[in-house]
Amino acid sequence: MIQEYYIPTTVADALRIKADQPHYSFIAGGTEINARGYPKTAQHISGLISIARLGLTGIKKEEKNLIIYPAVTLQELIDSPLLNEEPFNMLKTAASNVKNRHIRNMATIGGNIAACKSCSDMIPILMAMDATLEVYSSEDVKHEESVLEHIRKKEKYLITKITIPFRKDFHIAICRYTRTSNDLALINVCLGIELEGGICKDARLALGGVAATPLRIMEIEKFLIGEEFNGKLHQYAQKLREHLEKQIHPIDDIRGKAWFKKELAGGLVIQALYEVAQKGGIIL
Amino acid sequence: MRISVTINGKKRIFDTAPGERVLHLLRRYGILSVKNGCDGEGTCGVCAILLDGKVVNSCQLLAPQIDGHEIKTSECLSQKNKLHPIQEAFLDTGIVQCGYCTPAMLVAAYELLQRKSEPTEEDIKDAFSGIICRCTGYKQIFDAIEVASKRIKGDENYKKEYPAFRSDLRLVGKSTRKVDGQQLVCSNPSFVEDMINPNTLYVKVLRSPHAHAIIKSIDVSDAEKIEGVEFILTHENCPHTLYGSSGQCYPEPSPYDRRIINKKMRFVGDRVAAVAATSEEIAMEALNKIKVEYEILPAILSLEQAINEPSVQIHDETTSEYCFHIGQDLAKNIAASNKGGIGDIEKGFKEADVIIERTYRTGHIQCTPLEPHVVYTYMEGDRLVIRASTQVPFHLRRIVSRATGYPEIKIHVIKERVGGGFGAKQDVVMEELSSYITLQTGKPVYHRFTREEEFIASRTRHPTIINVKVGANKQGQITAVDMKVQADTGAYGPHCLTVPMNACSKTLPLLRCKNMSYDVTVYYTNNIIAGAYQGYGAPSGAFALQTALAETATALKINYLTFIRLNHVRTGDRLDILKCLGEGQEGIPQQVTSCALSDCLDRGDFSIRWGEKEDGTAPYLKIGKGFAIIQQGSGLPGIDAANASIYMLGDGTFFLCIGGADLGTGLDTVAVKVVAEILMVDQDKVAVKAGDTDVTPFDVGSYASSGTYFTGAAAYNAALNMKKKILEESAKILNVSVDKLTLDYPGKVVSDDGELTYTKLAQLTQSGKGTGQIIATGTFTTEESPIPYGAHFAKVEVNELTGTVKVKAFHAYQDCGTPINPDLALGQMYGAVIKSIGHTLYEQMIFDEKGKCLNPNFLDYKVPTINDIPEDFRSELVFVDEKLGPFGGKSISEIATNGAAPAIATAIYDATGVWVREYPFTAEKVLEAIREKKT
Ligand SMILES: Cc1cc2nc3c(=O)[nH]c(=O)nc-3n(C[C@@H](O)[C@@H](O)[C@H](O)COP(=O)(O)OP(=O)(O)OC[C@H]3O[C@@H](n4cnc5c(N)ncnc54)[C@H](O)[C@@H]3O)c2cc1C
Ligand code: FES
Ligand code: FES
Repeated sequence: MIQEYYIPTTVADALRIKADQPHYSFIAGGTEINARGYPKTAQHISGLISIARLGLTGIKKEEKNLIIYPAVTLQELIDSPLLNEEPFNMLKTAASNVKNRHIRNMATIGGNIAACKSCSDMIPILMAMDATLEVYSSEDVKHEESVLEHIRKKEKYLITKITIPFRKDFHIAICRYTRTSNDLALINVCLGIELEGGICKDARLALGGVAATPLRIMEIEKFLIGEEFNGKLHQYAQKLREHLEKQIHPIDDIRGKAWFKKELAGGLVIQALYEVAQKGGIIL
Repeated sequence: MRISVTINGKKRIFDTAPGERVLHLLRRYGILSVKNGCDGEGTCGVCAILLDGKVVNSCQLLAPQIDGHEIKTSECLSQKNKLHPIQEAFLDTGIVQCGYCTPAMLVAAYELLQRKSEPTEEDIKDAFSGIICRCTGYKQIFDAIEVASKRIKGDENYKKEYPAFRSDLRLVGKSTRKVDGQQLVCSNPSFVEDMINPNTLYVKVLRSPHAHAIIKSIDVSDAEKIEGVEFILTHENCPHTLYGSSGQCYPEPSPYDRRIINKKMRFVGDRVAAVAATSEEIAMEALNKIKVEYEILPAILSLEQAINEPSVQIHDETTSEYCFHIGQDLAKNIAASNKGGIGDIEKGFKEADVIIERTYRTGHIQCTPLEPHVVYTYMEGDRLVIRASTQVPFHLRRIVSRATGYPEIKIHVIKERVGGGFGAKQDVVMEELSSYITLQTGKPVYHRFTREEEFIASRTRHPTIINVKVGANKQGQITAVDMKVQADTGAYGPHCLTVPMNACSKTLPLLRCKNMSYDVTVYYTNNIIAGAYQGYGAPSGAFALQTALAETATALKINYLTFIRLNHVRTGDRLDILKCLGEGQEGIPQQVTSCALSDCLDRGDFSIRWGEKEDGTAPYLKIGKGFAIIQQGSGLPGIDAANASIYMLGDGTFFLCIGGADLGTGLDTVAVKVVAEILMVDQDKVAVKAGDTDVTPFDVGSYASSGTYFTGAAAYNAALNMKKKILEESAKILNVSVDKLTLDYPGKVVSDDGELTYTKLAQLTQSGKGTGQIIATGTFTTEESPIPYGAHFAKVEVNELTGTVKVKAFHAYQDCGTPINPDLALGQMYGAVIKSIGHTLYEQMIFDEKGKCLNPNFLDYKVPTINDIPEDFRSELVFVDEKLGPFGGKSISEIATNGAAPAIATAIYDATGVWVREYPFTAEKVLEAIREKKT
């Protein structure tokens, strides 16, 4: 039960409180942390440290990078004029896949990464875009790490900055399956491909819903690189699907049977491939 | 801690705790517009507020998060009793039904229009994307925003035109505002939760973790020691009387098969104990301290198991009593059964060229009213007052009286505004418990289900297995139909016979077929309790029968629409099958007094472009079309009854009392309009009080599509009596004969030589020299009940890669005789259609192998939101001249839940060539069926 609620005004203060009270949690929008343990927030959490006044808001464009601060809400991403062009516009698509406007107004991108849900809508796109995070594990220890590295770590520290490099000719598609529009995705697929003259120069494939955390499937990325798509997309799509289905091992749960999740992932990756190809001007 | 917040423009200081939810804080300080629909899960949005101008869920915010911020709630809209244009627009477009979600919708509308003065359809969907409304189907939100936007921009008289009917009438057939609309858009105290006084005890229930078990021992001594715990009820100290929870007419065709708390547990969630304490937290803490020892019994957890394994017995004669025989056989767990038919079924099948025999299945789905079950009970002297959210105030009084042993005369039931019922509130699922605790403690008691309890301890649709056998000849004539329905009533048997019977009685009479038979068997299982749900058994029956008919047409290679046109009933037909399909008693055959089926089919044929094949936008997207014809009833002839009384008030206006229970559907408005029409006054000259057992006369309540036809007719008859009395009194005063007088608008009696206003009449009659206040009553019982008909058309897109079915278009055509209030009637249709699309495609309760529900929340049990409505979504009222009913009004809402499943099933077949025979048609099932077809 929450006994204490801190609203520090500097990152250093926040980290000091956290160091003193390791079992306290950070709170950003609260959509995740407050959704548990009703009517009192999570029974096991006795204190919260708000990141609201740490100045971790705003989006800015640098020469080669886009910088997003973690307290930016999903709705702010959608409303930002800085994210209108490819590939950054896909961050808007990812954020608007969280269909519930109430949630988007509260939920932050940092909270989304830290919550690290299997079906997170932001982690796959950030992985596909090679985003890196600035993370403080204590007042004076700062790390720079990829999203993948971050979500693999057990200890969760304070995320203070998200950096996304700009990539030319990089096309991204996001395909997901939900039962209703307001559902968490059962499976989501984010495919990014750099194309040059119909040839795949580089690829990223991130998948949510098939394991405890979102995955990057590097096997498939390797498989894609160097391929020539023009005129061959149909046969290629089928191969890709078969290959992918071998790489993932979803489990049966109340949201779906393993076979179904596998098949979905395969179906969605085909859709994503078509979409990316269309964006990149591939001839079918 | 203290926080400072600007609320609706005023700075306020609140004392709070760091963990307190803003939702609770606001309600604690009297802001009633914020509602709780999902217990802080963030999925329903009815707790919406504006935080620094942005819509957020107040249930997910902690008090410190709003410290120093600015908050707006829907209370900011109306100024000194003057409505805001958005509130006015809501009332003028029929978007307020039960009103539980309305404050949140108002907040969303306000925020949207601040941001965009002329929003697009996409903007609107996005703005409302976080709010679940279970009533309206969302469609009229677009109208409301259009009207509000235009009016705010200066076009103050802008109106949305809704269809109007009966040009010979002033009010009936025209859209007017709902009579309870203003209180709902203003968040005046309306719902049970708004009535709670300090010093109330809160009830929490300990529920069985086992599907079938006997309580060997129960020890509450530790729990009792907790300070604040005032009373604990277990099977040891609760009455032994058996009763049934179903709000049906006495004698009920349902067993009396439960005590308030039983010694034997029959499903996961059955009551083990109830604690009343000074706060919810203390009550919950006490639950944890109760020690229970169970003897676990083998359980029956599926219909198949119930049919095949009669070794486990769930009830016996000592635990399940019947008012009369309804085909029960407790040794085989059969709670009820019935069979019958007309004609010669064997002969019918012999005459057929094609015979199709198929099995269809349906599962557990939940009503999910946004306001869960809730009740507030307290004593007034020796009388027990029950403030209830119920569809059946009078049945509730009777049932509580039986369960608690307290006499009916000492019980006063007040139906408050109901935040959605849909059938779940036709049962007494908590009122007898809190009543008993109030009677024992003498204290006010508040009991409200959590969302989880609303899933597991309310009532669901009966799961069914339905076998349909259809015979037809080459000419396309149906020669025989046989329906075998097996249904799962769960642990107890409310509505156990009547719901499954409706699977036949609301489907077979659609067909002109001489040979029809049915066989209904209902089993007790150790599943959660089934009961009434909008449509009753008809949606399951309609799905099975109509899909089987479509399969028959396919086998005959006849266009399905042509096939149905050849076989459906028409005005004037006599429906003999209804003689056997009664409610546990012999039924009454009906004549079809009006039927617009042909018209509905013609309209759908044209609008959906039947027979025109369409291509998807990608190779894996397949488009298909389907439809279904549907019917319901209008109340239960020979069983239901309604009464009304009207008082002429001192200024010549009228006070109408009806026993009926408006659950957001607009029944109060229907009754008021009917009265105002007859008495030649404006709608606002009639005030209404409904569903108060001390004040209003008896009415069976709102179920079985009886509202407009029964309660409306009682009001109609009372108004006719009032008219007669007005004329008689006026004749005496004016000294002319009655036949020289007529009523005239606005509220006067006229003759050739003069007039007498109602105001004058009231003064004269009510004075010491007068003949007394004019009071008229009306009653309605009948042997006839007009049937509403309709046809629903669907166009779907099936994604063959994922199995996803998307309803692209849904066109609903229905006849309800004279639509008394067209915009509200349309809202009933839109709401029911969207709900049934949800049932058809994704709504399903999932259980583990021990009978525990795994998805009792809106995160895992999905219901449609505004982004899920079909792109092309139409509802149309098809007028038919009906001689029965108040001004020819038939029922409208329940029927609208019957079409989606068969229409979508036939459309899926059209798209992919596979038949899906079990709903919901989840992507998983559809994909599996497509895979099977391919191999
Ligand atoms: C109804 C509903 C629907 C949802 N739908 C979706 C969906 O469709 N897709 C989706 O991806 N998600 C969805 N979510 C999950 C949603 O909660 C997260 O996506 C959201 O982004 C979390 O952000 P927050 O700011 O609210 O996090 P909080 O609840 O404040 O925090 C979440 C976790 O992150 C930690 N944290 C927060 N900020 C930081 C930081 N800067 N550094 C380190 N740790 C931090 C907290 O300690 C906590 O453990 C949904 C949630 C709800 C309630
Ligand atoms: S009560 Fe807040 S979202 Fe449901
Ligand atoms: S009117 Fe929206 S929930 Fe009832």
